[in-house]
Amino acid sequence: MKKKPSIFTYLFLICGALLIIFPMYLTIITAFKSTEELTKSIFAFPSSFYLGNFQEVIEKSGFLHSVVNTVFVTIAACLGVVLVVPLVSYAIARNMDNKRYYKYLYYFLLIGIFVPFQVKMMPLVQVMSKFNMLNVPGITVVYVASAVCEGVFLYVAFIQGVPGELEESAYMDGASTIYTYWRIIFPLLKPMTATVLIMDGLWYWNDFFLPLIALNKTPDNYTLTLFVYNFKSQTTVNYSLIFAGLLLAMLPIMVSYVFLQKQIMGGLVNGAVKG
Amino acid sequence: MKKKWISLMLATALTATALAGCGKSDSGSTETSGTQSSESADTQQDSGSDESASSASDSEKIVLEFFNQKVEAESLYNDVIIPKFQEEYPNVEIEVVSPSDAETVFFTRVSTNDMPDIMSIYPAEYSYQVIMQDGLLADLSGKDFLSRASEGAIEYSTYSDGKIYAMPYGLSSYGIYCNLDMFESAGLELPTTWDEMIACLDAFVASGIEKPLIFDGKGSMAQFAERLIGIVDKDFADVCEAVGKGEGSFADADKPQVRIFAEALLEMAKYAPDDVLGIGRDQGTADFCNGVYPMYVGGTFYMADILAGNADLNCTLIPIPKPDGGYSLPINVDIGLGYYVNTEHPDICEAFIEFMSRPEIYQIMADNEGTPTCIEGVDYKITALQDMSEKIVGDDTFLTLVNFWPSGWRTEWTIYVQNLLSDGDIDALITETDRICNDYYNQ
Amino acid sequence: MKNVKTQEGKKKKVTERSLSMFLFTIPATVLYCVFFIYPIIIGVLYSFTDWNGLSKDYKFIGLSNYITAFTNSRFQNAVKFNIRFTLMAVILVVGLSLILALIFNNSKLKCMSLFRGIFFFPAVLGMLVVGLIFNEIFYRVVPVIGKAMEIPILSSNILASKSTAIYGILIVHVWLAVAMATVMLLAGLQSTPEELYEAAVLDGANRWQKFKYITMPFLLPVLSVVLILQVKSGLTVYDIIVALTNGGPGGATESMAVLIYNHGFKEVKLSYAIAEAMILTIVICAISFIQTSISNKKKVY
Repeated sequence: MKKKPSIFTYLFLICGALLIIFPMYLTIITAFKSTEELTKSIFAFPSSFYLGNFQEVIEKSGFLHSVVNTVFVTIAACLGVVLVVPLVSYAIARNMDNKRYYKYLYYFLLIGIFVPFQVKMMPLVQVMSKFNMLNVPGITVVYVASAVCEGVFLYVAFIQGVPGELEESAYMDGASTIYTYWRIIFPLLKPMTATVLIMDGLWYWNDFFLPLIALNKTPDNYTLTLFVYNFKSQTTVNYSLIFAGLLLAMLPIMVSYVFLQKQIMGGLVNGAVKG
Repeated sequence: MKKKWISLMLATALTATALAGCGKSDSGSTETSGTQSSESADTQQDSGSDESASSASDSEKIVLEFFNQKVEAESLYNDVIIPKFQEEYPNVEIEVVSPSDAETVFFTRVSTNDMPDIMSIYPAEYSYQVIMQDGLLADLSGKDFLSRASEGAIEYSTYSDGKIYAMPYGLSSYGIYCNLDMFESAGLELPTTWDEMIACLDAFVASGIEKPLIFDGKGSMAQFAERLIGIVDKDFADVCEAVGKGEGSFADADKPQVRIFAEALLEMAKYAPDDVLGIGRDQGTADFCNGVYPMYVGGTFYMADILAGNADLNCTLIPIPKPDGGYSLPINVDIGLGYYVNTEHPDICEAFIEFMSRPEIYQIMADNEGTPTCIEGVDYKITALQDMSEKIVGDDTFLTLVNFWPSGWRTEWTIYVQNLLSDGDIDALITETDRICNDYYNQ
Repeated sequence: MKNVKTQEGKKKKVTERSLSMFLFTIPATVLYCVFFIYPIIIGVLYSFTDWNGLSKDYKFIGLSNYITAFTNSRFQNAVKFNIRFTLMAVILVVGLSLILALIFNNSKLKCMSLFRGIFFFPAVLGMLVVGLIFNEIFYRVVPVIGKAMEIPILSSNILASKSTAIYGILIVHVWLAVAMATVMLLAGLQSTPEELYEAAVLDGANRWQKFKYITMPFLLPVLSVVLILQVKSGLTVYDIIVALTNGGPGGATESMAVLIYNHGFKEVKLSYAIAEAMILTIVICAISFIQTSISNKKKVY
């Protein structure tokens, strides 16, 4: 049905791709250089693939611990988001047009989107400290709470675009609300769930500021970014080491990206909604 | 559908290759990490059983938290200094916490009432004085070990109520790093006066080095400007207060400090690259290490990075000459140790602070970390800073001005110093300096 | 009798449903109140005091922090910077990602997965590493290229000049933000029923008509989400600036978020910083509200 893309489309894509690849090329070659080689030229291809940087990062005590922490925080918080956010969004999306509570709740939950982190930064840490939550499980809960507003915003918009006939027929058949939600609605939300998971997962994985002020108490609590940032302040000049650390920090998220990409891009929206 | 799968796998493979540069190294690192993790798990278990055994025998193990702002010294504390301390206090465990962006973390903890037991601080700076004012730090005045620090350092660490809340260990200063090899090949002597410095720079330009001076106008403009105006007049902060209270303006003939400063800075900037405001500290350090510039404005605390970047670099740090002759060294206390007033074990905290001040112990620190020390009896061995470390404990010093200005004054003023460097408008800087003084001293 | 029974059954069902729906909202709302709204309220209360963030004592000073902020020239400059930056960023990000999403929505594109893989790549990167890389590019690479091509603006570090530093930040911001926006728009495009296009072709609609009457209405909800997220990220831009210019030179790139952070931590005026952050909040709210009400009017059900 669709026209074949023109040569200009390809030119446009190739230029864009080069713009994206070039800095990445830089990151990778930097990570493979020794300090001496790096100070000579930043952009030259490494004369040999020096693995000392990776080795140094991995051998540094605490690296693996921080990987475990980061994986735990990311997975647990994502799980929390998936459990909590679509649920509330579904309730809001289906009721906000005729019930005040849901309408006001929607706007109440949206307020958070507009508030910059700086407003609540210090009081949040005070609250966490009060509940003895300045640790890995504690920050996980805070992450779930922080993801509510944007998640609701995205999910509600999406659910409103999902036709109501499917669930109505399920209700007609006498299915309970939770059953209908879980069996019929939730699967329909897969594309948005994938998007939200990726957005939040990346945020949790790459976040620095909240871990910095909430998890600093012992190195046992460090996340990967905290660990790498510590590296950074210890080695101002040693860029190759920092880049090696960051590259290692990115690796798991990029692998998951390659697999989740299918979820987002695939024809799930078309298939499920049509069905 | 099939096609989709193939292209997906292709993309996967491509991304994977692109990511690691080469697949081999990738699998190699995962393998190492695999064995590592099992090993570390083992050691963890071991240490865990050790702990329980020792705690059973010692009946009580005291754990103290040490908030360390010198991140680069973390492993030194953990591997050398604390084990030595434990020889004397076997039942004490000291946990070193050295987060990056330590200042932010420290303030967060203070404001959430989560004070560490022992902490390293900059006793002369305003934000730490707020903590002293609130009585959060224990009073160390009159303790014997204070006499191990130089008189000047003690004076600079004394809070305005006459008490001392932190034991000083190091003093930092600011100057110009000179690449001695480049000086030698150009046949130049190290400058000691302003005119000699300008002559040196001119000689470098004549010898083909178009831009012989560098300073990191992006990362450290505030520090440099603060030191330079202090060199012009070490009592500049008092003049600021007078101007702020409405007694004249920096445009007046008897308050020429800002103009002298601006002219000196612009003269130096002529020899620096045009995009000096875009140069960060790491870039400046890297370029200096690579011999691109013979002269680099920076603090004693740059030394560790310079050594890391190029350990063989033959360089030395000289004072920034006063534009009207002689020199005057800006000093900051870097760093002092204090302890929380409500800690459960004040005696051990004090013992640790005393322990650190012993010359033979601090020697370990001085040998490994660049900051010149103020502890008497410590033999300072870093050659590039040898001269400087002698001058620092000499007489021609002053406590750098950030310790006297109201909080925020320096940050705001720096904006206009950067403006001066981009448009060269001295009068604008004078007007703005007047205004900032008015704003800050009338609050 | 039968009639009454069904009515009762219906009523019961409605209650079960509304009760479940209500319960659905509880976990998220509780979490959100405790860890989001409560700290915000405390923060707002602090903004009416003179707490510096450290000391134990502080007193209520009313609106004085807000008044100071409004009359402060640094704050005004930051607001101006943010408005300029956000306008440019939103136009560029939304424009580019819309073009990309439309391109990627065409299944006839060759090497689709490869291109998609590359274009989404920046989204997985941390801000710091991107900042560090571009810092080096602006310092060492761009001037070399600029000199070779004899373009004066590009022959020195664009981050070093007051007039061009904002564009340096803009480039990095767009570089990072386009990826996620494209993905979201693409998801929106793919929800458009294929039959409509087929029908439109039968009706003889041209490309623009198809875009205007079929694509746009279905894309609008997602587009409005993307717009709001972009406006917000433009107004709160922070990490990239810290990595690239730290607000300089001469305050030229001091955004509100950077200023707030500087005031809060570097200059120990926490309550004042929170007051500034509150003003920023109100600005974001106002802009988003206007934006939503406009797009709601256009929305097609």
